[in-house]
Amino acid sequence: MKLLLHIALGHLLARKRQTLVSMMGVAMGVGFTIAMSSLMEGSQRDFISRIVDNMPHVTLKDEFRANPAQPVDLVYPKGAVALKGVKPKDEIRGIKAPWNKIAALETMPGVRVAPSLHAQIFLSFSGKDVAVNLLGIDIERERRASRIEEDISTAGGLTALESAANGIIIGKGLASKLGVQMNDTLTAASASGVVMKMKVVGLFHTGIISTDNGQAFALIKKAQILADRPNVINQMRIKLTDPMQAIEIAAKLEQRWGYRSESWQESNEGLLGAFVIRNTVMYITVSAILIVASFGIFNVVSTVVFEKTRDIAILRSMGFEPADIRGIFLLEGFLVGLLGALLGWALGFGLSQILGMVRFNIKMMTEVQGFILHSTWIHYTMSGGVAALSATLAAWLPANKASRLKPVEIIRGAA
Amino acid sequence: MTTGAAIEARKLARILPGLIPVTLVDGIDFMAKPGELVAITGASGSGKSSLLYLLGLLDEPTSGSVIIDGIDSASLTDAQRTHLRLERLGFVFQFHFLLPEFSVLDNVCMPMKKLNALPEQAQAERGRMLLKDLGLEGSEKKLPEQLSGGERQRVAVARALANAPSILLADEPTGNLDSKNSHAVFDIFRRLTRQDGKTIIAVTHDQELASACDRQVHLADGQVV
Ligand SMILES: Nc1ncnc2c1ncn2[C@@H]1O[C@H](COP(=O)(O)OP(=O)(O)OP(=O)(O)O)[C@@H](O)[C@H]1O
Ligand SMILES: [Mg+2]
Repeated sequence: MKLLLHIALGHLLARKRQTLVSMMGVAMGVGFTIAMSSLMEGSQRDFISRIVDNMPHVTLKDEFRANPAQPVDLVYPKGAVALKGVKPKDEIRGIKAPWNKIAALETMPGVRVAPSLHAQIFLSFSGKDVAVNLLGIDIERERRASRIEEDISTAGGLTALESAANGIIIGKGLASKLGVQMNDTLTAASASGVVMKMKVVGLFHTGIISTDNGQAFALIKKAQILADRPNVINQMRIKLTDPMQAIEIAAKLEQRWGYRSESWQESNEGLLGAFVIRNTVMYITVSAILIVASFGIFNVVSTVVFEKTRDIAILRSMGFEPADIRGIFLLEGFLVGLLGALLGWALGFGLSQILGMVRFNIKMMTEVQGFILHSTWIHYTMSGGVAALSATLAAWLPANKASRLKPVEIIRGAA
Repeated sequence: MTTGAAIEARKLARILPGLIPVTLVDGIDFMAKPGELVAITGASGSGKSSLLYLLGLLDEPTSGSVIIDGIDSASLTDAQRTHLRLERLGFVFQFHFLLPEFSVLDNVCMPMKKLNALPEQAQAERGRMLLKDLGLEGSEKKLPEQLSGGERQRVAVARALANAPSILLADEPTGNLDSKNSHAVFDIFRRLTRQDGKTIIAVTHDQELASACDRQVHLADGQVV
């Protein structure tokens, strides 16, 4: 092995420029892979952590996944009877016995719960109407289980809701849409016909446009009055100490109470699915780069084999086996791949640093003013490993050809 | 089995298959004893190189056999034949075939490294000694391209001798050399057979060099005449 390495290195060192060029090919492949994947990983992690930070980990709603079974089905479960046009009895929507459930949830370790009533209302001010999703909340619990208070820039935070008879906290985007300012009084109307004057006691800015432009907070009691749904709670937003338990806990809750309980993963299925597609696209792009790099290696090893036929013949006549010859050229491919990968690591690291320093000034987009990068050792080992492996594979064909050369034929031709 | 022959060929034939088969070697019986320096002569195309490749196990005969130190090569596998070449046979060709990327000493040590019978230190030691024997002291670190033709050929001889083979096969080793260098190479051959008891079979066109050998074998049309 040492001898083969010695010969392989000799061949490569005698062709420094060619070797360097194909090494650069590999390095670019590996470098871009690392930079791109850390970019992807960074934005993905950032996105997920935003979801995990800002959204409930489990949302329990006053809905059921399946429509309730009708009496006739209950009596004749397998009967050949079908009733059509059944008008189910109107049920009062909302989670039944909510406070018992909240108490039960609060005994579970690592679980914080924020109950709320969600209601669609209209806010109007100086002739402008905007449809808004109003959350009636419990201040203490809201504080523990959500982060909305951090985004309230005005004095008193959530407590300000208690400062007025009918206080409301709205998003800054909504405020500018309506043209209201702090302490202005606007009119709130619900679908049930209740109309209420409400005073803006706070403003928030989350950075999520749909929330900033379409959400408002009030005390749960006021929301229940406005929606004309006394004592109703229709959502429980649950935060977990370990967000990764969300799926499990959601399933448990749904099984226990029957209400639809969504984990954050389920709520964001579409987005998480998009990440899979995005990553697939990235890996395809990156493999394409590596395939191109492999051609470079194939080229350099083929050239060396072609130029070295005489040397191969003399080595064989000396007593080197075909496997030794193959080994020499495979090693050459592997070495180019390995050194290229090392160079690519440096390149990838450098690129990541540069990308990490880039700053943009796009106001509308997000809070982020630059790329978020996150690279793990997996990116490095994977790209390096794939590069070294594909380099060796690229060398396989010419190496195998070299091992099958017949020394007599070459010597006969050369003599 | 044999009468002390170092190398022996029996009814050796090599026919290149093809649309029109070409007979390279046509039923040759041949043997060389330890310490013998044999010259093979003959016109161009008479099959001298072909015979040498067969004797050196580089090529496989169509029929007949080659026996080296009592071992019939036909009974060996490819790998065993390769190993036999490594241990007991040395080749020198008209072209030196030195590896251009490696130093003179590296080139000489290459077969020793492959065989790996000596510790590394001893390999280099032996390499230096061989080079010194062939009058190449001081050239160890040079690259082949920095040597003259005659020097290169002597390096090739040193390399062929690296694993102390009992048989040296030389195909027109002086074909590219002037008369002075040619004589130098044959003097080395002479010494190797006399002093070390090696068997050397050398193809040459030079009648003067051939007649200085122990014996001449003349080929024509793939046959001994
Ligand atoms: N691959 C081949 N295909 C066809 N004919 C070949 C081939 N190799 C050798 N020959 C023929 O075989 C014969 C013997 O060749 P060989 O090289 O053994 O001769 P030689 O005695 O060494 O000649 P020279 O003195 O020119 O080296 C020649 O007639 C040559 O043309
Ligand atoms: Mg010849």
